[in-house]
Amino acid sequence: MSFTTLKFLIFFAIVFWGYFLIPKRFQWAWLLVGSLVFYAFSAWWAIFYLLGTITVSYGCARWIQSLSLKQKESLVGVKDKNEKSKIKASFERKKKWVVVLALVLLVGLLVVVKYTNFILKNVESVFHLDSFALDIVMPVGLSFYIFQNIGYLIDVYRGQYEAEKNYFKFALYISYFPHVLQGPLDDYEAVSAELYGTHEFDYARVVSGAKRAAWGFFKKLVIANQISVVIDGVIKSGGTGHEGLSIMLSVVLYAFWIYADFSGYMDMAIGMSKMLGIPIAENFDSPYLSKNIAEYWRRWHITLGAWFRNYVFYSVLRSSWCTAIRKKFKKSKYLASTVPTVLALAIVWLLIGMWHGAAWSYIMHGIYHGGFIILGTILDPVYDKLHKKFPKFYGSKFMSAFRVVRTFTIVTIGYYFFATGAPSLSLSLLKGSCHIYLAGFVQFLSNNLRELIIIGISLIFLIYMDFYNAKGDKPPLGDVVARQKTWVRWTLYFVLLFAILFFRAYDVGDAFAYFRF
Amino acid sequence: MERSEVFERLNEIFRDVFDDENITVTEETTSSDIEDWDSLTHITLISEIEDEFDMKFAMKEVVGMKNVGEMVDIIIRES
Repeated sequence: MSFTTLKFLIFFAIVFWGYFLIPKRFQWAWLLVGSLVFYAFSAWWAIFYLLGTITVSYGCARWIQSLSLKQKESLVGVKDKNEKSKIKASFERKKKWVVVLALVLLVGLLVVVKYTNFILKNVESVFHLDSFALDIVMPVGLSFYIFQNIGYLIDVYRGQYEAEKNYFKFALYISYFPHVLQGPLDDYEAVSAELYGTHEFDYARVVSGAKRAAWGFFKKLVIANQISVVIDGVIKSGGTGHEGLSIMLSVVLYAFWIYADFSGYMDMAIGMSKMLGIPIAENFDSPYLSKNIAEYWRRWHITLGAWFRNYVFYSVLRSSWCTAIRKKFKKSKYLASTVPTVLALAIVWLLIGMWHGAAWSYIMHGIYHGGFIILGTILDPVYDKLHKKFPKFYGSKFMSAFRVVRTFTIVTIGYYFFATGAPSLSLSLLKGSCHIYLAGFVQFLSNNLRELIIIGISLIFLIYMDFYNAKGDKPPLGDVVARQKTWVRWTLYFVLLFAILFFRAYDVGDAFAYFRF
Repeated sequence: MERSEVFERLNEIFRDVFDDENITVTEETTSSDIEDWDSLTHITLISEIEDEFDMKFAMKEVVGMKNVGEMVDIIIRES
Protein backbone atom coordinates (compact mmCIF):
# COMPACT_ATOMS: atom_id res chain seq x y z
CA MET A 1 0.00 0.00 0.00
CA SER A 2 1.64 3.23 -1.16
CA PHE A 3 1.56 6.32 1.05
CA THR A 4 0.06 8.39 -1.76
CA THR A 5 -3.13 6.37 -2.23
CA LEU A 6 -6.54 7.20 -0.78
CA LYS A 7 -6.60 3.68 0.73
CA PHE A 8 -3.51 4.52 2.74
CA LEU A 9 -4.83 7.88 3.93
CA ILE A 10 -7.95 6.13 5.28
CA PHE A 11 -5.75 3.48 6.88
CA PHE A 12 -3.54 6.12 8.52
CA ALA A 13 -6.54 8.08 9.80
CA ILE A 14 -7.84 4.93 11.53
CA VAL A 15 -4.41 4.02 12.98
CA PHE A 16 -3.80 7.61 14.10
CA TRP A 17 -7.13 8.24 15.87
CA GLY A 18 -7.28 4.72 17.26
CA TYR A 19 -3.78 5.17 18.71
CA PHE A 20 -4.83 8.11 20.85
CA LEU A 21 -8.31 6.82 21.76
CA ILE A 22 -7.49 3.32 23.05
CA PRO A 23 -5.97 2.74 26.54
CA LYS A 24 -2.29 3.72 26.43
CA ARG A 25 -0.95 0.29 27.39
CA PHE A 26 -2.36 -1.15 24.16
CA GLN A 27 -0.78 1.52 21.93
CA TRP A 28 2.16 -0.56 20.76
CA ALA A 29 -0.04 -3.59 20.11
CA TRP A 30 -2.35 -1.37 18.04
CA LEU A 31 0.64 -0.29 15.96
CA LEU A 32 1.66 -3.92 15.46
CA VAL A 33 -1.80 -4.90 14.19
CA GLY A 34 -1.86 -1.81 11.96
CA SER A 35 1.61 -2.55 10.60
CA LEU A 36 0.76 -6.16 9.75
CA VAL A 37 -2.45 -5.09 8.02
CA PHE A 38 -0.47 -2.43 6.13
CA TYR A 39 2.13 -4.96 5.01
CA ALA A 40 -0.48 -7.60 4.08
CA PHE A 41 -2.07 -5.04 1.74
CA SER A 42 1.01 -5.17 -0.52
CA ALA A 43 0.44 -8.92 -1.04
CA TRP A 44 -1.05 -11.18 1.62
CA TRP A 45 1.46 -14.01 1.04
CA ALA A 46 4.37 -11.64 1.70
CA ILE A 47 3.43 -11.54 5.37
CA PHE A 48 4.94 -15.04 5.71
CA TYR A 49 8.33 -13.72 4.59
CA LEU A 50 8.07 -10.88 7.09
CA LEU A 51 7.06 -13.10 10.01
CA GLY A 52 9.60 -15.75 8.99
CA THR A 53 12.53 -13.35 9.20
CA ILE A 54 11.20 -11.91 12.48
CA THR A 55 10.95 -15.39 13.99
CA VAL A 56 14.48 -16.36 12.91
CA SER A 57 16.13 -13.26 14.34
CA TYR A 58 14.00 -13.21 17.48
CA GLY A 59 14.85 -16.86 18.21
CA CYS A 60 18.56 -16.57 17.45
CA ALA A 61 18.95 -13.33 19.40
CA ARG A 62 17.31 -14.94 22.44
CA TRP A 63 19.58 -17.96 22.02
CA ILE A 64 22.69 -15.73 21.97
CA GLN A 65 21.36 -13.90 25.02
CA SER A 66 20.91 -17.13 26.97
CA LEU A 67 24.45 -18.23 26.02
CA SER A 68 25.79 -14.91 27.35
CA LEU A 69 23.90 -15.47 30.58
CA LYS A 70 25.26 -19.02 30.94
CA GLN A 71 28.76 -17.69 30.22
CA LYS A 72 28.45 -15.24 33.09
CA GLU A 73 27.19 -17.96 35.45
CA SER A 74 29.99 -20.34 34.48
CA LEU A 75 32.59 -17.68 35.20
CA VAL A 76 31.39 -17.10 38.77
CA GLY A 77 34.03 -18.32 41.22
CA VAL A 78 36.58 -19.23 38.53
CA LYS A 79 39.90 -17.66 39.57
CA ASP A 80 42.37 -19.21 37.16
CA LYS A 81 43.01 -16.86 34.20
CA ASN A 82 43.54 -19.70 31.71
CA GLU A 83 40.39 -21.45 32.80
CA LYS A 84 38.48 -18.17 32.47
CA SER A 85 39.59 -17.51 28.93
CA LYS A 86 38.88 -21.14 28.00
CA ILE A 87 35.27 -20.82 29.20
CA LYS A 88 34.92 -17.47 27.46
CA ALA A 89 36.29 -18.83 24.18
CA SER A 90 33.96 -21.83 24.25
CA PHE A 91 30.88 -19.65 24.70
CA GLU A 92 32.07 -17.13 22.13
CA ARG A 93 32.40 -19.97 19.63
CA LYS A 94 28.85 -21.15 20.31
CA LYS A 95 27.48 -17.62 19.94
CA LYS A 96 29.33 -17.24 16.67
CA TRP A 97 27.71 -20.40 15.35
CA VAL A 98 24.25 -19.13 16.23
CA VAL A 99 24.83 -15.80 14.52
CA VAL A 100 26.27 -17.56 11.46
CA LEU A 101 23.22 -19.83 11.32
CA ALA A 102 20.88 -16.80 11.45
CA LEU A 103 22.89 -14.96 8.80
CA VAL A 104 22.85 -17.97 6.49
CA LEU A 105 19.05 -18.15 6.81
CA LEU A 106 18.42 -14.42 6.35
CA VAL A 107 21.01 -13.68 3.68
CA GLY A 108 20.16 -17.00 2.04
CA LEU A 109 16.51 -16.00 1.72
CA LEU A 110 17.46 -12.63 0.25
CA VAL A 111 19.87 -14.20 -2.24
CA VAL A 112 17.41 -16.87 -3.35
CA VAL A 113 14.49 -14.49 -3.80
CA LYS A 114 16.42 -11.57 -5.25
CA TYR A 115 19.26 -13.12 -7.23
CA THR A 116 18.20 -16.59 -8.43
CA ASN A 117 16.88 -15.35 -11.76
CA PHE A 118 19.84 -13.02 -12.25
CA ILE A 119 22.25 -15.93 -11.76
CA LEU A 120 20.19 -18.23 -13.99
CA LYS A 121 20.01 -15.63 -16.76
CA ASN A 122 23.78 -15.16 -16.72
CA VAL A 123 24.35 -18.91 -16.80
CA GLU A 124 21.95 -19.13 -19.76
CA SER A 125 23.73 -16.45 -21.74
CA VAL A 126 27.22 -17.81 -20.99
CA PHE A 127 26.32 -21.37 -22.04
CA HIS A 128 23.73 -20.35 -24.68
CA LEU A 129 20.96 -22.34 -23.00
CA ASP A 130 17.20 -22.04 -23.30
CA SER A 131 15.55 -19.90 -20.69
CA PHE A 132 14.84 -21.66 -17.42
CA ALA A 133 14.10 -18.60 -15.29
CA LEU A 134 11.82 -19.21 -12.32
CA ASP A 135 8.67 -17.40 -11.39
CA ILE A 136 9.83 -15.68 -8.18
CA VAL A 137 8.12 -12.53 -6.98
CA MET A 138 10.07 -10.53 -4.44
CA PRO A 139 8.05 -9.33 -1.44
CA VAL A 140 8.19 -5.55 -1.23
CA GLY A 141 10.62 -4.21 1.38
CA LEU A 142 12.46 -7.54 1.78
CA SER A 143 15.94 -6.01 1.33
CA PHE A 144 15.15 -3.40 3.96
CA TYR A 145 13.69 -5.54 6.71
CA ILE A 146 16.21 -8.32 6.27
CA PHE A 147 18.96 -5.74 6.79
CA GLN A 148 17.24 -4.41 9.89
CA ASN A 149 16.96 -7.96 11.23
CA ILE A 150 20.66 -8.59 10.56
CA GLY A 151 21.73 -5.32 12.22
CA TYR A 152 19.74 -6.20 15.33
CA LEU A 153 21.21 -9.71 15.52
CA ILE A 154 24.80 -8.53 15.13
CA ASP A 155 24.26 -5.86 17.81
CA VAL A 156 22.97 -8.49 20.24
CA TYR A 157 25.88 -10.77 19.32
CA ARG A 158 28.37 -7.95 19.92
CA GLY A 159 26.71 -7.24 23.27
CA GLN A 160 25.55 -3.77 22.30
CA TYR A 161 22.20 -4.35 24.02
CA GLU A 162 20.06 -7.21 25.33
CA ALA A 163 17.73 -9.19 23.08
CA GLU A 164 14.05 -8.17 23.19
CA LYS A 165 12.11 -10.68 25.33
CA ASN A 166 8.65 -10.03 23.90
CA TYR A 167 8.17 -11.60 20.47
CA PHE A 168 5.35 -9.24 19.54
CA LYS A 169 7.28 -6.14 20.55
CA PHE A 170 10.18 -7.32 18.43
CA ALA A 171 7.78 -7.98 15.56
CA LEU A 172 6.64 -4.35 15.80
CA TYR A 173 10.25 -3.10 15.61
CA ILE A 174 10.75 -4.88 12.28
CA SER A 175 7.29 -4.42 10.76
CA TYR A 176 6.54 -0.82 11.90
CA PHE A 177 4.69 0.54 8.86
CA PRO A 178 6.55 3.85 8.31
CA HIS A 179 9.87 2.03 7.81
CA VAL A 180 9.05 -1.52 6.68
CA LEU A 181 8.88 -0.89 2.91
CA GLN A 182 11.88 1.36 2.17
CA GLY A 183 13.54 2.20 5.46
CA PRO A 184 14.98 4.17 7.16
CA LEU A 185 16.93 1.26 8.64
CA ASP A 186 16.19 2.09 12.25
CA ASP A 187 18.52 1.15 15.06
CA TYR A 188 16.71 -0.94 17.70
CA GLU A 189 18.36 0.90 20.58
CA ALA A 190 17.42 4.32 19.17
CA VAL A 191 13.79 3.57 18.36
CA SER A 192 12.57 0.91 20.81
CA ALA A 193 11.85 3.08 23.87
CA GLU A 194 9.47 5.36 21.96
CA LEU A 195 8.03 2.55 19.86
CA TYR A 196 6.94 0.59 22.95
CA GLY A 197 6.29 3.68 25.09
CA THR A 198 2.98 5.46 25.58
CA HIS A 199 2.17 8.75 23.92
CA GLU A 200 -0.27 11.57 24.61
CA PHE A 201 -1.90 13.52 21.82
CA ASP A 202 0.35 16.59 21.49
CA TYR A 203 -1.13 19.19 19.12
CA ALA A 204 2.16 20.97 18.32
CA ARG A 205 3.94 17.70 17.59
CA VAL A 206 1.10 16.39 15.42
CA VAL A 207 1.03 19.59 13.37
CA SER A 208 4.80 19.59 12.99
CA GLY A 209 4.72 15.95 11.81
CA ALA A 210 1.86 16.65 9.43
CA LYS A 211 3.79 19.54 7.87
CA ARG A 212 6.80 17.32 7.33
CA ALA A 213 4.58 14.69 5.69
CA ALA A 214 2.89 17.34 3.50
CA TRP A 215 6.29 18.50 2.26
CA GLY A 216 6.99 14.87 1.39
CA PHE A 217 3.74 14.62 -0.56
CA PHE A 218 4.71 17.75 -2.50
CA LYS A 219 8.14 16.31 -3.31
CA LYS A 220 6.66 13.03 -4.51
CA LEU A 221 3.43 14.08 -6.23
CA VAL A 222 4.56 17.35 -7.77
CA ILE A 223 8.33 17.21 -8.26
CA ALA A 224 9.02 13.49 -8.74
CA ASN A 225 5.86 12.65 -10.67
CA GLN A 226 6.09 15.67 -13.00
CA ILE A 227 9.72 14.83 -13.75
CA SER A 228 8.61 11.28 -14.39
CA VAL A 229 6.21 12.52 -17.10
CA VAL A 230 9.07 14.29 -18.90
CA ILE A 231 11.89 11.76 -18.61
CA ASP A 232 10.37 8.25 -18.44
CA GLY A 233 10.17 7.85 -22.19
CA VAL A 234 13.73 9.09 -22.72
CA ILE A 235 15.37 6.96 -20.01
CA LYS A 236 13.43 3.73 -20.58
CA SER A 237 14.16 3.74 -24.31
CA GLY A 238 17.85 4.40 -23.75
CA GLY A 239 17.42 7.79 -25.43
CA THR A 240 16.17 6.33 -28.71
CA GLY A 241 14.67 9.07 -30.88
CA HIS A 242 16.03 11.87 -28.70
CA GLU A 243 19.00 14.15 -29.27
CA GLY A 244 21.90 14.76 -26.90
CA LEU A 245 20.84 17.82 -24.89
CA SER A 246 17.38 16.35 -24.20
CA ILE A 247 19.03 13.18 -22.91
CA MET A 248 21.47 15.10 -20.73
CA LEU A 249 18.65 17.24 -19.32
CA SER A 250 16.66 14.06 -18.64
CA VAL A 251 19.52 12.47 -16.72
CA VAL A 252 20.02 15.65 -14.65
CA LEU A 253 16.28 15.66 -13.96
CA TYR A 254 16.55 11.97 -13.05
CA ALA A 255 18.95 13.01 -10.26
CA PHE A 256 16.25 15.29 -8.86
CA TRP A 257 13.53 12.73 -9.52
CA ILE A 258 15.16 9.98 -7.46
CA TYR A 259 16.02 12.47 -4.71
CA ALA A 260 12.49 13.92 -4.54
CA ASP A 261 10.96 10.44 -4.72
CA PHE A 262 13.11 8.77 -2.06
CA SER A 263 13.54 11.71 0.33
CA GLY A 264 9.87 12.64 -0.16
CA TYR A 265 8.93 9.15 1.02
CA MET A 266 11.21 9.64 4.04
CA ASP A 267 9.55 12.98 4.86
CA MET A 268 6.17 11.25 4.82
CA ALA A 269 7.42 8.33 6.95
CA ILE A 270 9.25 10.53 9.46
CA GLY A 271 6.38 13.04 9.57
CA MET A 272 3.66 10.44 10.17
CA SER A 273 5.76 8.66 12.77
CA LYS A 274 6.30 11.98 14.51
CA MET A 275 2.53 12.50 14.58
CA LEU A 276 2.36 9.27 16.60
CA GLY A 277 5.18 10.48 18.86
CA ILE A 278 7.86 8.12 17.54
CA PRO A 279 11.00 9.72 16.06
CA ILE A 280 12.66 7.56 13.41
CA ALA A 281 16.06 8.03 11.74
CA GLU A 282 16.79 10.74 9.17
CA ASN A 283 17.97 9.37 5.83
CA PHE A 284 19.01 12.51 3.92
CA ASP A 285 21.04 15.59 4.73
CA SER A 286 21.07 17.80 1.59
CA PRO A 287 23.18 15.20 -0.27
CA TYR A 288 23.61 17.16 -3.50
CA LEU A 289 25.55 19.84 -1.61
CA SER A 290 28.35 17.39 -0.73
CA LYS A 291 31.92 18.32 -1.65
CA ASN A 292 33.12 14.80 -2.46
CA ILE A 293 31.68 11.33 -3.07
CA ALA A 294 32.56 9.99 0.40
CA GLU A 295 30.67 12.89 1.96
CA TYR A 296 27.80 12.36 -0.49
CA TRP A 297 27.33 8.83 0.86
CA ARG A 298 27.28 10.13 4.41
CA ARG A 299 24.40 12.40 3.39
CA TRP A 300 22.45 10.24 0.89
CA HIS A 301 20.57 7.18 2.22
CA ILE A 302 22.37 7.74 5.52
CA THR A 303 21.05 4.66 7.32
CA LEU A 304 22.18 2.29 4.54
CA GLY A 305 25.70 3.76 4.64
CA ALA A 306 25.76 3.48 8.43
CA TRP A 307 24.59 -0.13 8.19
CA PHE A 308 27.39 -1.09 5.80
CA ARG A 309 29.93 0.79 7.93
CA ASN A 310 28.91 -0.90 11.19
CA TYR A 311 28.27 -4.43 10.01
CA VAL A 312 30.46 -4.94 6.92
CA PHE A 313 33.23 -2.35 6.72
CA TYR A 314 34.26 -2.57 10.40
CA SER A 315 33.86 -6.36 10.44
CA VAL A 316 36.16 -6.76 7.43
CA LEU A 317 38.75 -4.31 8.78
CA ARG A 318 38.76 -6.01 12.20
CA SER A 319 39.04 -9.51 10.71
CA SER A 320 42.19 -11.51 11.29
CA TRP A 321 43.25 -11.37 7.64
CA CYS A 322 43.04 -7.59 7.52
CA THR A 323 45.06 -7.39 10.74
CA ALA A 324 47.62 -9.69 9.10
CA ILE A 325 47.84 -7.40 6.07
CA ARG A 326 48.31 -4.41 8.34
CA LYS A 327 51.16 -6.21 10.15
CA LYS A 328 52.75 -7.16 6.85
CA PHE A 329 53.00 -3.51 5.79
CA LYS A 330 54.13 -2.38 9.23
CA LYS A 331 57.12 -0.53 7.76
CA SER A 332 55.00 1.90 5.76
CA LYS A 333 52.34 3.76 7.73
CA TYR A 334 50.60 4.69 4.49
CA LEU A 335 50.35 1.13 3.14
CA ALA A 336 49.45 -0.37 6.53
CA SER A 337 46.31 1.75 6.69
CA THR A 338 45.53 2.14 2.98
CA VAL A 339 45.75 -1.47 1.74
CA PRO A 340 43.20 -2.98 4.18
CA THR A 341 40.93 0.08 3.82
CA VAL A 342 40.90 -0.21 0.03
CA LEU A 343 40.12 -3.94 0.23
CA ALA A 344 37.29 -3.36 2.70
CA LEU A 345 35.91 -0.52 0.55
CA ALA A 346 35.98 -2.71 -2.55
CA ILE A 347 33.92 -5.39 -0.76
CA VAL A 348 31.48 -2.85 0.67
CA TRP A 349 30.86 -1.13 -2.68
CA LEU A 350 30.40 -4.33 -4.59
CA LEU A 351 27.79 -5.32 -2.00
CA ILE A 352 26.09 -1.91 -2.05
CA GLY A 353 25.80 -2.21 -5.82
CA MET A 354 24.34 -5.71 -5.54
CA TRP A 355 21.98 -4.70 -2.75
CA HIS A 356 20.27 -2.23 -5.07
CA GLY A 357 19.21 -4.94 -7.43
CA ALA A 358 20.04 -8.05 -9.35
CA ALA A 359 21.37 -6.41 -12.48
CA TRP A 360 24.79 -5.53 -13.89
CA SER A 361 23.74 -1.86 -13.99
CA TYR A 362 23.50 -1.66 -10.22
CA ILE A 363 26.73 -3.56 -9.70
CA MET A 364 28.47 -1.18 -12.13
CA HIS A 365 26.95 1.78 -10.30
CA GLY A 366 28.35 0.47 -7.00
CA ILE A 367 31.80 -0.06 -8.51
CA TYR A 368 31.66 3.43 -10.06
CA HIS A 369 30.97 5.15 -6.73
CA GLY A 370 33.32 2.84 -4.83
CA GLY A 371 36.02 3.61 -7.39
CA PHE A 372 35.88 7.32 -6.62
CA ILE A 373 35.97 6.70 -2.87
CA ILE A 374 38.92 4.30 -3.21
CA LEU A 375 40.73 6.79 -5.43
CA GLY A 376 40.12 9.47 -2.81
CA THR A 377 41.57 7.20 -0.12
CA ILE A 378 44.68 6.37 -2.17
CA LEU A 379 45.31 10.00 -3.12
CA ASP A 380 44.58 11.36 0.36
CA PRO A 381 48.21 12.33 1.13
CA VAL A 382 48.41 14.25 -2.15
CA TYR A 383 45.24 16.21 -1.33
CA ASP A 384 46.54 16.88 2.17
CA LYS A 385 49.77 18.34 0.78
CA LEU A 386 47.90 20.49 -1.73
CA HIS A 387 45.54 21.78 0.94
CA LYS A 388 48.47 22.68 3.19
CA LYS A 389 50.34 24.37 0.36
CA PHE A 390 47.41 26.42 -0.95
CA PRO A 391 45.11 26.91 2.04
CA LYS A 392 43.62 30.13 0.67
CA PHE A 393 42.71 28.62 -2.68
CA TYR A 394 41.15 25.46 -1.24
CA GLY A 395 39.34 27.44 1.45
CA SER A 396 37.81 29.85 -1.07
CA LYS A 397 34.10 30.01 -1.85
CA PHE A 398 34.83 29.38 -5.51
CA MET A 399 36.58 26.10 -4.71
CA SER A 400 33.74 24.98 -2.41
CA ALA A 401 31.19 25.69 -5.13
CA PHE A 402 33.35 23.95 -7.71
CA ARG A 403 33.62 20.83 -5.55
CA VAL A 404 29.84 20.73 -5.03
CA VAL A 405 29.23 21.00 -8.77
CA ARG A 406 31.92 18.39 -9.49
CA THR A 407 30.38 15.93 -7.01
CA PHE A 408 26.90 16.47 -8.45
CA THR A 409 28.27 15.91 -11.95
CA ILE A 410 29.93 12.64 -10.92
CA VAL A 411 26.72 11.45 -9.25
CA THR A 412 24.65 12.41 -12.30
CA ILE A 413 26.98 10.58 -14.69
CA GLY A 414 26.58 7.57 -12.37
CA TYR A 415 22.84 7.70 -13.05
CA TYR A 416 23.53 6.78 -16.67
CA PHE A 417 24.25 3.30 -15.25
CA PHE A 418 21.65 3.32 -12.51
CA ALA A 419 18.60 4.76 -14.23
CA THR A 420 18.09 2.34 -17.11
CA GLY A 421 18.56 -0.96 -15.28
CA ALA A 422 20.37 -2.50 -18.28
CA PRO A 423 23.95 -1.85 -19.49
CA SER A 424 22.92 -1.89 -23.17
CA LEU A 425 20.39 0.91 -22.55
CA SER A 426 22.97 2.85 -20.51
CA LEU A 427 25.42 2.62 -23.37
CA SER A 428 22.85 3.84 -25.87
CA LEU A 429 21.96 6.69 -23.49
CA LEU A 430 25.64 7.67 -23.30
CA LYS A 431 26.08 7.47 -27.07
CA GLY A 432 22.88 9.44 -27.66
CA SER A 433 24.17 12.25 -25.42
CA CYS A 434 26.93 12.97 -27.94
CA HIS A 435 24.57 13.69 -30.82
CA ILE A 436 23.43 17.24 -30.20
CA TYR A 437 20.79 18.72 -32.46
CA LEU A 438 19.55 22.09 -31.25
CA ALA A 439 16.20 22.14 -33.06
CA GLY A 440 15.40 18.74 -31.53
CA PHE A 441 16.16 20.09 -28.07
CA VAL A 442 13.88 23.11 -28.58
CA GLN A 443 11.17 20.69 -29.72
CA PHE A 444 11.71 18.59 -26.57
CA LEU A 445 11.44 21.68 -24.37
CA SER A 446 8.28 22.93 -26.04
CA ASN A 447 6.64 19.49 -25.93
CA ASN A 448 7.13 19.42 -22.15
CA LEU A 449 6.77 23.13 -21.44
CA ARG A 450 4.01 22.93 -18.80
CA GLU A 451 5.76 20.19 -16.81
CA LEU A 452 9.17 21.87 -17.08
CA ILE A 453 7.80 25.17 -15.72
CA ILE A 454 6.19 23.38 -12.74
CA ILE A 455 9.39 21.38 -12.17
CA GLY A 456 11.59 24.48 -12.44
CA ILE A 457 9.56 26.45 -9.88
CA SER A 458 9.26 23.53 -7.45
CA LEU A 459 12.97 22.79 -7.68
CA ILE A 460 13.71 26.35 -6.53
CA PHE A 461 11.87 25.52 -3.28
CA LEU A 462 13.58 22.14 -2.94
CA ILE A 463 17.05 23.59 -3.49
CA TYR A 464 16.35 26.52 -1.15
CA MET A 465 15.29 24.05 1.57
CA ASP A 466 18.49 22.07 1.07
CA PHE A 467 20.70 25.16 1.35
CA TYR A 468 18.75 26.26 4.41
CA ASN A 469 19.05 22.87 6.14
CA ALA A 470 22.70 22.44 5.16
CA LYS A 471 23.68 25.63 6.96
CA GLY A 472 22.65 23.91 10.16
CA ASP A 473 22.82 27.04 12.31
CA LYS A 474 19.14 27.95 11.98
CA PRO A 475 16.01 26.31 13.45
CA PRO A 476 14.11 23.92 11.12
CA LEU A 477 12.03 25.83 8.58
CA GLY A 478 8.85 24.19 9.92
CA ASP A 479 9.46 25.78 13.34
CA VAL A 480 10.09 29.17 11.74
CA VAL A 481 6.76 28.89 9.89
CA ALA A 482 5.01 27.86 13.13
CA ARG A 483 6.07 31.15 14.71
CA GLN A 484 4.52 33.33 11.96
CA LYS A 485 1.18 35.13 12.21
CA THR A 486 -1.90 33.00 11.60
CA TRP A 487 -2.67 34.45 8.17
CA VAL A 488 0.92 33.95 6.96
CA ARG A 489 0.94 30.34 8.15
CA TRP A 490 -2.40 29.44 6.64
CA THR A 491 -1.58 31.13 3.35
CA LEU A 492 1.54 28.99 3.16
CA TYR A 493 -0.38 25.81 4.04
CA PHE A 494 -2.99 26.52 1.39
CA VAL A 495 -0.36 27.29 -1.23
CA LEU A 496 1.31 23.95 -0.50
CA LEU A 497 -2.01 22.10 -0.48
CA PHE A 498 -3.16 23.65 -3.76
CA ALA A 499 0.23 23.07 -5.33
CA ILE A 500 -0.12 19.38 -4.45
CA LEU A 501 -3.71 19.18 -5.68
CA PHE A 502 -3.32 21.12 -8.92
CA PHE A 503 0.22 20.46 -10.01
CA ARG A 504 0.56 16.80 -9.16
CA ALA A 505 1.07 14.55 -12.12
CA TYR A 506 -1.44 11.80 -12.83
CA ASP A 507 -0.99 8.48 -14.55
CA VAL A 508 2.52 7.74 -13.38
CA GLY A 509 1.49 5.22 -10.73
CA ASP A 510 1.81 5.22 -6.96
CA ALA A 511 4.98 3.18 -6.63
CA PHE A 512 8.14 4.66 -5.16
CA ALA A 513 11.57 4.11 -6.69
CA TYR A 514 13.01 2.15 -3.78
CA PHE A 515 10.10 -0.32 -3.56
CA ARG A 516 11.85 -2.52 -6.10
CA PHE A 517 14.99 -2.79 -3.99
CA MET B 1 48.61 2.72 34.62
CA GLU B 2 47.98 6.40 35.41
CA ARG B 3 45.33 8.20 33.38
CA SER B 4 47.74 11.01 32.53
CA GLU B 5 50.22 8.51 31.14
CA VAL B 6 47.52 6.99 28.88
CA PHE B 7 46.67 10.45 27.58
CA GLU B 8 50.32 11.20 26.88
CA ARG B 9 50.76 8.04 24.85
CA LEU B 10 47.40 8.59 23.13
CA ASN B 11 48.42 12.08 22.04
CA GLU B 12 51.46 10.60 20.29
CA ILE B 13 49.26 8.09 18.44
CA PHE B 14 46.67 10.68 17.44
CA ARG B 15 49.35 13.05 16.14
CA ASP B 16 50.89 10.22 14.16
CA VAL B 17 47.63 8.83 12.68
CA PHE B 18 46.12 12.20 11.77
CA ASP B 19 49.46 13.69 10.80
CA ASP B 20 48.98 16.81 12.91
CA GLU B 21 51.45 17.81 15.62
CA ASN B 22 48.96 20.22 17.23
CA ILE B 23 46.45 17.59 18.40
CA THR B 24 45.96 17.29 22.15
CA VAL B 25 43.10 15.03 23.18
CA THR B 26 41.03 15.43 26.35
CA GLU B 27 38.32 13.38 28.09
CA GLU B 28 35.66 15.09 25.98
CA THR B 29 37.34 14.92 22.55
CA THR B 30 35.08 13.28 19.95
CA SER B 31 35.45 12.42 16.27
CA SER B 32 33.77 15.71 15.31
CA ASP B 33 36.66 17.64 16.94
CA ILE B 34 39.30 16.13 14.65
CA GLU B 35 38.77 16.82 10.96
CA ASP B 36 40.12 13.58 9.51
CA TRP B 37 38.59 11.25 12.11
CA ASP B 38 36.00 9.35 10.05
CA SER B 39 35.00 5.72 9.68
CA LEU B 40 38.03 5.09 7.43
CA THR B 41 40.66 6.38 9.88
CA HIS B 42 38.81 5.11 12.97
CA ILE B 43 39.95 1.52 12.51
CA THR B 44 43.55 2.57 11.80
CA LEU B 45 43.50 4.57 15.01
CA ILE B 46 42.01 1.67 16.98
CA SER B 47 44.65 -0.78 15.65
CA GLU B 48 47.50 1.61 16.51
CA ILE B 49 46.16 1.97 20.04
CA GLU B 50 45.79 -1.80 20.40
CA ASP B 51 49.42 -2.30 19.32
CA GLU B 52 50.69 0.42 21.64
CA PHE B 53 48.88 -0.81 24.75
CA ASP B 54 48.88 -4.50 23.84
CA MET B 55 45.13 -4.92 24.31
CA LYS B 56 42.02 -5.50 22.19
CA PHE B 57 38.81 -3.49 21.87
CA ALA B 58 35.54 -5.43 21.63
CA MET B 59 33.47 -4.68 18.53
CA LYS B 60 30.76 -3.03 20.63
CA GLU B 61 33.42 -0.66 21.97
CA VAL B 62 34.79 0.09 18.48
CA VAL B 63 31.29 1.09 17.36
CA GLY B 64 29.99 2.53 20.61
CA MET B 65 32.77 4.68 22.12
CA LYS B 66 31.42 8.19 22.66
CA ASN B 67 34.63 10.13 23.41
CA VAL B 68 38.31 9.75 24.23
CA GLY B 69 37.46 9.55 27.95
CA GLU B 70 35.56 6.29 27.35
CA MET B 71 38.45 5.07 25.23
CA VAL B 72 40.86 5.69 28.13
CA ASP B 73 38.54 3.82 30.54
CA ILE B 74 38.65 0.77 28.29
CA ILE B 75 42.43 0.97 27.79
CA ILE B 76 43.04 1.10 31.55
CA ARG B 77 40.63 -1.78 32.16
CA GLU B 78 41.98 -4.04 29.42
CA SER B 79 45.74 -3.48 29.45
